[in-house]
Amino acid sequence: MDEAELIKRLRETFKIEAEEHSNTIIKGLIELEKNPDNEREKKVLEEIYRSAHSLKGASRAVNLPNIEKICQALESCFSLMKNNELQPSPGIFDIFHSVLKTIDVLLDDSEENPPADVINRTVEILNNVKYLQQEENDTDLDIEVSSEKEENVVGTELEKKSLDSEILEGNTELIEHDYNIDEGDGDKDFNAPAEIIEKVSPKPSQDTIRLSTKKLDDIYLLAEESLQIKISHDQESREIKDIQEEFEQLKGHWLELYSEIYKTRTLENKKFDGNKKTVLSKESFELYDVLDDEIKQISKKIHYLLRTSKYVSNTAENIIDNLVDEIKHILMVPFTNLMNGFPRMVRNLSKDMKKEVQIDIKGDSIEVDRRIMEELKDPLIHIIRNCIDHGIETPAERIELGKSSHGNIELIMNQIDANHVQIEIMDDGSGIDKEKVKNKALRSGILSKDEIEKLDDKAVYSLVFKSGLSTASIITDISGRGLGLAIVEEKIEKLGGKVQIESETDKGSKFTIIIPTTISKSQGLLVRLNTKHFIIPVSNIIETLRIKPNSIKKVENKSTIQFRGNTLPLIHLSDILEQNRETEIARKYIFIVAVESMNQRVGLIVDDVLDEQEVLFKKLGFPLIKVRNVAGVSLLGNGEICPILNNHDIIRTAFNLRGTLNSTDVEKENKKKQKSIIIAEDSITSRLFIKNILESAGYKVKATVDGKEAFTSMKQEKFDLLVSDVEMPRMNGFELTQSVRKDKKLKDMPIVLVTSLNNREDQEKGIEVGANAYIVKSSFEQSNLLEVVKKLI
Amino acid sequence: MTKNSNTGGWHEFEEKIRMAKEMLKSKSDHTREDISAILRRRAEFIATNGEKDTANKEMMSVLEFALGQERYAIETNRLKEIMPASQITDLPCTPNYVFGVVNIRGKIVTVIDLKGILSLDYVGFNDFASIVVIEHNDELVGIVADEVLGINNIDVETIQHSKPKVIKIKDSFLKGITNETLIILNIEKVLSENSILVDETVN
Repeated sequence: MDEAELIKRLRETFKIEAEEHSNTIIKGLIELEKNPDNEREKKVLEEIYRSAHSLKGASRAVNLPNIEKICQALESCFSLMKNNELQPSPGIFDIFHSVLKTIDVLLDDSEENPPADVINRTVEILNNVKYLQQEENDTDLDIEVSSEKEENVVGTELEKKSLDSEILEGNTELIEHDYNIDEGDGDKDFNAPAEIIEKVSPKPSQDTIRLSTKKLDDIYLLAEESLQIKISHDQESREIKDIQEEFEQLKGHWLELYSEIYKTRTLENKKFDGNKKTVLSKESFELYDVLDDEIKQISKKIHYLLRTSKYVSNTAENIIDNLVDEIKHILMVPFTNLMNGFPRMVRNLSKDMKKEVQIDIKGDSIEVDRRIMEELKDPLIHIIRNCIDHGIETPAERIELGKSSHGNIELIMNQIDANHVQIEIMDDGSGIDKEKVKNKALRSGILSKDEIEKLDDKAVYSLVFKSGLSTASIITDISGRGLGLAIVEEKIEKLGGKVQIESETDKGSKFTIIIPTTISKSQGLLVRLNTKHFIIPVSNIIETLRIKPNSIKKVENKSTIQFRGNTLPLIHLSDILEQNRETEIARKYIFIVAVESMNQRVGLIVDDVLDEQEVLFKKLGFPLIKVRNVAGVSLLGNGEICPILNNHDIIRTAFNLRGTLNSTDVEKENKKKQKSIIIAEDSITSRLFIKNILESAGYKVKATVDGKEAFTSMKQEKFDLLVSDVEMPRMNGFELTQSVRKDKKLKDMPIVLVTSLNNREDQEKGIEVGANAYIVKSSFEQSNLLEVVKKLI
Repeated sequence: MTKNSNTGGWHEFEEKIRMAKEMLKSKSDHTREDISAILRRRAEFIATNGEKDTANKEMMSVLEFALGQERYAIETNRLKEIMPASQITDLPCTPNYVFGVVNIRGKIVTVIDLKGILSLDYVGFNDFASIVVIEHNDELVGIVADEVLGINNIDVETIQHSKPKVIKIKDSFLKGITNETLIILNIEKVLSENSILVDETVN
């Protein structure tokens, strides 16, 4: 599994535990300060000592050395108190409390690393506490004195943990005093906990408040809702305009008629001198005049209505757009939030890979929408992992190439215009092996030989984003599953961004990502299928076509048209979306929406193309995490909910469907057949765990206890894939793999090695004996295993 | 004409009110203290009356609804609102138990069909169908009830935990069954089932 994710989860648990310990200590200290009787004192001391000890241990387990160090010091103080070597004065109690506050602050944001010297000094104070007790009494320290400076030190802070911020700040001053007594110099920068607080929480100031993101999201949702008013109003204006046009036409007809009538009347008046009965009675003439008058009145009214409506529309648009923009800005966060953990991640990953890698981050103060930032996290981590795994060479290789032994990754953010940020990720590694990419593309059947030869460098690199293509010769849990970069591209495109790769052999590679800084209102094309409406995001639409049925040609029994000099495959959108098709009627025209994604084009046949409009993207909720072909929903002007399609999925589905159109029923049957997997694993926990994961994903699973049993079973029954542990009695995973590869019948069986060993030698051995994938147990999560399995069978 | 009779009517009415007031005045010799004493007695009566049933009894507040021919109930603690099952927008490429989505104050809420999840016979929608909106893990989700029957208090002691054989629903989905064969669902459990999550990618 994602290691960072694991640590995050562990830390959440740790936080709860730590808060309990911290509370125990605080409660204990308060009781001790009240001078309880001897027995009670002993008991409480024992309690807080134990809590400090446990907290120390727990922080070590989740790798929070700062808290560990402080707890260590705290523990020794409590130990002294237990042995009656330290009689804490009120001042010392205050120090303890303020130290606990510091721990709380550190707990609150454990990713943030305050400078080591601050922690060291805090520890130092604690270590020196015992010397303080004598002088303490003489100097008669008073919180009152220091509270004068309060505001200057930290200011007003809306820290949710600060039960009593005044005392906290008082204490920081106090520590300063204590230290001065101890050292006898006026070292001003020695207000340690205050420094930590300032480092850890955003710089507090009078006009800064902390808000929960949920509240902001709610406000944003409301503001976004008001966009609905704007959209509805726009539509209303357009409808009024339509009515006006229709009415003006009617008025035109009427005027023609009226002038005819008028002529007739004048003619008759002349002819018959008003004596004879005319064709048109006098009353009817009067009626015509009234009618004419009314029509002119209504025309004026409609005109006025339209003008007001347009005015309201414009005003609403101005106000609402401004409001939404303002709120969007509030929702922006700097890259720092995301990238703080990167150096650590790079350090850990490169250590695992036995490489030396440094990361340099520039421009991380640039801000983008929090939701975009969240979506960017996985792609960025993935690219960095790729750089470490594939790009940067081992120190030995680097030195041989005349490079410095440590590789460098540069991460540079640049605001390229008001609404876009460019992120460059560069490494100085080996670059992308073009030939390897070409070979891989050929082998996985993505392109034919002719097609590959025609590709220029840029096109070759863009192949890296194709699903199923990875140049890593073995699948590790870091990369090489060949899905990663495809997902990277998809995620970035979904954000309305673009990603590009450049590379030069032995010089390195460079990923350039351009993304919008805010989630923009996007345009969508409203189409109709039967009675239902759907929105196709315009970002992927090349063109909307209206063609005559006879221009559709059948190529290999599939419908196509000629489009911009190429053959465009056609597919009915109803088939993709698993909807019933509208009853066939002889149509004069057929509507086609040509869409493009990941360099593939397809023409979607729809029943009607209605309108292009602003789309208000809304996420689907529980239990819909991801629905095939649907990205989300939008609200139409009339309040109707309308699904927004996911163009990536649509195109993939289209090709899948077209692929199976010709295949025989037998093949279809085979595709659906349950795949069976055999597991070899001696640990019962791991065995059940893996079995469970695979079974819940719909595989038929047989579990065996070691390599020998597995091998025997495989000879008797047919399996599609082997998942094997490495360390097992009787026959281990490497031996089993070797045996399988040597067996005539079994030699092509995909093999996934699952192991607790994570070192390069073992991975290499895995390749050597012929395993297809190598997953490390400690960092393995079900999705990882499933992803690998899915890729292999 | 009409005008006259109307005013006459008003006169009569005013007269009646005046008489009624006088009658009340003559009869009412209650002081303010008396009145509050009466009210207190009444309040006590009402309070103890309720207590008679609930004293020492743990009650469970449930929403009762019909799915097909059977009556089901869920606890009301997660209940957010009930709305008519109209304007549900169908979503393509979703499993059968997903009816579609509705817009509740700007949030898109999925409406699911318990009949599908509990593997009950599907009878289809009727005119009385409602969406019962509940909160689950800080998100809203709607379930379709063929008819909402109301909110009731059930004596916890009357709930049986063993289920009759005719009920096909998984044990863990049940809180119990009352004497009146009202099936109380453990809706949290039902919704926590991983198999109801939809997370599908096109490969």
